Amino acid sequence: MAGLTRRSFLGFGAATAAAVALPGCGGGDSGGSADGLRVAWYGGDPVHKAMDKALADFTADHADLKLSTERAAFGDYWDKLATQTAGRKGPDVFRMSMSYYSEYAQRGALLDLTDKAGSAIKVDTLDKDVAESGRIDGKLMGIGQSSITHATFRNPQLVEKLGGKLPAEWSWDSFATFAKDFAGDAGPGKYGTGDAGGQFQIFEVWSREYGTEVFADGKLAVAKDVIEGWFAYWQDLRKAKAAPGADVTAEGGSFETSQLSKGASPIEFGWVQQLAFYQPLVKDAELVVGAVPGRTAGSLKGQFLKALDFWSVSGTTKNPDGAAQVIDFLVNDDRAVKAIGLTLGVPPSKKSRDLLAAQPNTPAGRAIAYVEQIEQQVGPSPQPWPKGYGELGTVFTRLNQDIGFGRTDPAAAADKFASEAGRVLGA
Amino acid sequence: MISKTLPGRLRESLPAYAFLAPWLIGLFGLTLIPMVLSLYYSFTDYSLLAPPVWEGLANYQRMLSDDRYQHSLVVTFTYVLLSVPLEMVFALAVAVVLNQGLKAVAFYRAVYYVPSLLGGSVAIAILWRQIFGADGLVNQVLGTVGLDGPGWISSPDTSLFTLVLLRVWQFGAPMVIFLAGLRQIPGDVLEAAEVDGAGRVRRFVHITLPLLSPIIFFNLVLQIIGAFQAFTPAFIVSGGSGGPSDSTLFYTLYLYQKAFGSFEMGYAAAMAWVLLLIIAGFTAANFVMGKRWVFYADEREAR
Repeated sequence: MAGLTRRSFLGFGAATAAAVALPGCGGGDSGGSADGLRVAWYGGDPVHKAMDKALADFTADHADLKLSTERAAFGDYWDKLATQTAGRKGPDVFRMSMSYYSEYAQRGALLDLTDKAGSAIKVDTLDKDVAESGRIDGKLMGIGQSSITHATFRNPQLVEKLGGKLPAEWSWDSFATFAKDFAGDAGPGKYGTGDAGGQFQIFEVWSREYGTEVFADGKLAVAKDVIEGWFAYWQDLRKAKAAPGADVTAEGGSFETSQLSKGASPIEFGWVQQLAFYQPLVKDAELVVGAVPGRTAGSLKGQFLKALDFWSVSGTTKNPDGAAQVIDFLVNDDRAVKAIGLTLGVPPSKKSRDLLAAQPNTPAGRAIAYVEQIEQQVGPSPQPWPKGYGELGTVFTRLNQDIGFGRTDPAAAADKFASEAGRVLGA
Repeated sequence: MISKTLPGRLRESLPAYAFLAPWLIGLFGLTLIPMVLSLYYSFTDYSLLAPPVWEGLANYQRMLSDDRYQHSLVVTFTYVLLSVPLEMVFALAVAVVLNQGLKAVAFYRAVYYVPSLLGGSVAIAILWRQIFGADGLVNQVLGTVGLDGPGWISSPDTSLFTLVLLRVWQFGAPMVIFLAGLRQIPGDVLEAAEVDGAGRVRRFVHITLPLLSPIIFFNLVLQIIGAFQAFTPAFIVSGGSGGPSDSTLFYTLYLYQKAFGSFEMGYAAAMAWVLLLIIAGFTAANFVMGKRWVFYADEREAR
């Protein structure tokens, strides 16, 4: 302390005070000033890169708007968004998934964009279904950013190596036969398919093939025996070693660790745009994207084409006009469409799809060709998923796991799911 | 004169309050007010996105019929009862060895302490995931002797035990405290016992352990509290799910899922208060039982 004079001590104090105060100011700004905008999204690395690129172009056009971005993986994103929203510090523009859409929309956390749509945000270019997907209780709480549909990703090379051939169409029965045959021929450590039994969203296809939506009017609509049939189907595949055991699946869970990426299985289930995520991980083969099996081969009425992700605006934003500009840019501007590509899903307008489909050999081109091929055959879109959907999805995954580990059976799991749905959806 | 002295006093004590301010702001802003609020929320239905709605004891009643809640209690108790004694024994054993007058004791002390420093970190939990994965280090070693190990963290039969092991591995903090305690034991007492013909084991059981009992007690209380609050390892190793098949569904993890996964902040707040009571109960029981076996040297001198 020898060299510390009174003056330098006071100076130090002042500097500390300034340092403490400044971040406070910054925080106030990012909370939503009239000329600043916070944009948030979820996704993996390809999404972050694509969004950064697109927003850089937006910033070049709008030097007056101070843009800041927030990004997270899907799971973490929702924890953060819920906390921010509770503290009325939500981002101005953010990516919203249908899994949580009703949760936010019905609790007043989102801005009604009805007035903006058609003026600040051009929606007449969008597919009709996508443009209307964001409507909930008569209010437009989000602009569909992509249209997506269910898909299977197939590695034909893996099958051909064993002298087999991938059929273009499957029924669930013929798919099971294929998976069992493949696993039998390929030997231990190889599986005919990844375990989709825990994928609630693929189950929706199964359910609709039986003529019922999973939900109707915010309640569980699918019968218990249909759920039981699904769980039993996958249990049968696991037992026959045509699908990996529950412990193998439990260890996967990301694109990198999936059986398809590891070359251990020729089939994985998912959403069409994920072709762009799987393809770079499967280096020695060109993946094929095809439909999910139906009750009869070729039936596509279980599938649908719909916007499952939206751009939404916080109900507390101080700059709704700026927010609308960002959304319009992301959805309609050619530069944004090219930068984003397939990372958020298949672009929701014909014009954008044509832009990307110009290269049919890219994953984007192949995914778009698949969507256009099935467009006319899929069933009608379901209502927005109800409040509590996100939680039910994890319940579903856990029950499939419990069956796989022999802790319950398909019938008991179906019962359990129905009762959980009753609790979560407020029976 | 009073009117003159009060402002004078205030002026005198103002710097003190100014220097106390950060702590006071922390105490009220980060501890007391949030605690009171969370107690209030525990009696409400609060979704985070909408204002809380008062519903009395409903959240507390719900715990009685919530299977997963009760399962999370079982998982947590199993974890505490397995990991704390193991960790304590391990820490004490290593401390005793290090206290034998090794030359490089500072080096070893640091080496054994490092895992504790890294302990709560995400990196270590990810490392654990790699070590105990189906293709991980453990199974590779087992493979060299022809054994085919299970997926340790992906099978519900073994996943919890890998987390117990992770905690035991982080024995550094209690070990350092034990080491300090061992240094305090007067050498002349041990020497006198040796002269009287007491062997190593006898000296350890009858002299070292009783004199160390306050330290053992301190470590025990802290470790039990810490184990009840364990969160990060389970969160990372199971990817936030408490899986596989809920086998690592720690109390705190379930609380977190309810709060941020299904927007049931009221229920989560109630769970937090019950956890507080459980930990308080354990700590109180420790103090009551401690009277029987914790031995303070100065007490004897006072008698």
